[in-house]
Amino acid sequence: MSTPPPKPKTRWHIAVFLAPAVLVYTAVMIYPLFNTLRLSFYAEVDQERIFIGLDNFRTLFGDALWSEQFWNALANNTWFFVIHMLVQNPIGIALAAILSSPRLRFSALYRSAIFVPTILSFVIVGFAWKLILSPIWGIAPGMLDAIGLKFLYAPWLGKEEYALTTLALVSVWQFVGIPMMLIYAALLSIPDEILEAGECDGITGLSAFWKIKLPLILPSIGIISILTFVGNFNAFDLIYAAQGALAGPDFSTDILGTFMYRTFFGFQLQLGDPHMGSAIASAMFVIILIGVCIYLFGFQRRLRNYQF
Amino acid sequence: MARAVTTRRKILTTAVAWTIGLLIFFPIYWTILTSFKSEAQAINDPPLFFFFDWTLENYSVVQDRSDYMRFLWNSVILAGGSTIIGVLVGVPAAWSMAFVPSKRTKDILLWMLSTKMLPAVGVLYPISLLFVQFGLLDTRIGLIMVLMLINLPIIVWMLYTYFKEIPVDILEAARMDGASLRQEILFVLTPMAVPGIASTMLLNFILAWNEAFWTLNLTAANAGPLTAFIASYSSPEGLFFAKLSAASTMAIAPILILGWFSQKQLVRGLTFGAVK
Repeated sequence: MSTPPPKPKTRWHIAVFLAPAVLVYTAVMIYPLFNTLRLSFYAEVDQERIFIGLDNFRTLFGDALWSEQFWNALANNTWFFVIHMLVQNPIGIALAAILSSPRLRFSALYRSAIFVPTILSFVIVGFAWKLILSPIWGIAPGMLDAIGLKFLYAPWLGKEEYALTTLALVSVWQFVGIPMMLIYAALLSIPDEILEAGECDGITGLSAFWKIKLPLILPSIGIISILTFVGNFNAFDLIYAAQGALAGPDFSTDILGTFMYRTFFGFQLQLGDPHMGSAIASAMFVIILIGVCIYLFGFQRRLRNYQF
Repeated sequence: MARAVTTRRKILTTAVAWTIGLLIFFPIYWTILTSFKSEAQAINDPPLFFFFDWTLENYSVVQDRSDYMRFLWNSVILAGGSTIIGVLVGVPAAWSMAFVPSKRTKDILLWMLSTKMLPAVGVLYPISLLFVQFGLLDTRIGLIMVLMLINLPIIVWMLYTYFKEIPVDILEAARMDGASLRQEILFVLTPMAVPGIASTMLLNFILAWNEAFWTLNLTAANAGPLTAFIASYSSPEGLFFAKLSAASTMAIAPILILGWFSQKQLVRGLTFGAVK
């Protein structure tokens, strides 16, 4: 009974193999997600769901009560992303450069130490940083005092003007391991001949980095950027874990994810409104889609020239 | 000149690099350190970096007061259960995508990955309705299913990229030698696929272990894992810094050990295969 099954039979079991994953996933995750997007065209009037077209979006962008919150969240989210791009990428590149340097000892241990925060839960990250930043129990004031910089200290998580930037930096701290590893891999894949050819032309050291290596790792930086973009505009957990759904102080750390959560489920005295929440979800979806399209059609195409 | 690496420069580079590295690692080190202090020492000013009376008291208190082991057990069950079911569902799917590709294969993969473009909050509402309907709130089985499903795209995607690397020629050679489909999978494919499956399971275990969003929203006292436990502890801040540190340390210990040995596979999963 060990004759191999004939071709048509093979096709049939393929369907059986694929079905659980694809069907269950579609039914439980994808369908509800698109259903959520669909909900944004409806509203509840007298306990009945009626189709209202784009009215929810009109409210979201037109009604000052909503639009103010929306633009605040979007602006905060953009700032969150900008901090990541400005801080995470240069640090990631620098760490990768250090890591690939033949002069570094214990490099495997080094890589692990920097990568560890990436695999921790947001809950723990939020707590670990409170241990440091808390104005009363944290050690940041004491440490700054020890090096004579106490005047620099402020309750960073509690002040409107610093809270968002602080959280963005905590998030950078958590995820800097990913750009480091991506760029490290890219640096390793640069053929030695290219660097040697550069050396023959007198390009060494730092200028070799700027003129040869950096252009060659640009595609990796592109991938990091788009992953960061999608991650940041989907972000929710860290703010929720550190500041709660109210994204305090005074909504200064409110990003699209927390705004949507509050709208969906309500908070304190405000009731949840799934339809408006869906409208925000749709807006987020469009924003992320636009970002990804810009990357795919604007950025990645041009980068192809550099790849070998 | 660039090639001449002197010992002094080597030491200097290492010193500078390690200073940066230790700064980055500091918050974790500090959490672990605080867990061995008494509550008074934990908030001592100036902070105590090494010389204090090391104590294990926090660990026993955490267990006594809040039945820590139950949360730990829940974490193990949720992460382990969702990983096993996820791989059981994912392997056949990834197998057929990798070895019997069709025009639709890429579409199916993208279809599954598409949800990663939207915040999980968007599905929370319908899923919590579903949970209420089927009485799954605060049950382990419900959460196992949810954790399995949210990580399923990554599982399938990772397994797919690993299976892709297995040369089809070998499978064909086995078929030529008269191996049945069962034998082909069991004796030829599995041994070659095991490393990929293992690292996929590892990544999924870590992701499920860390998951806080779903566990916080869908569990209470019964099925809550460690992340929910720590989140619930953090409200009466300050009073329990050392104990919360102990709880956190116990929560991250398995992850640190697992993650330490599997960074490469983790990066591969977290970047959707951009790094191999």
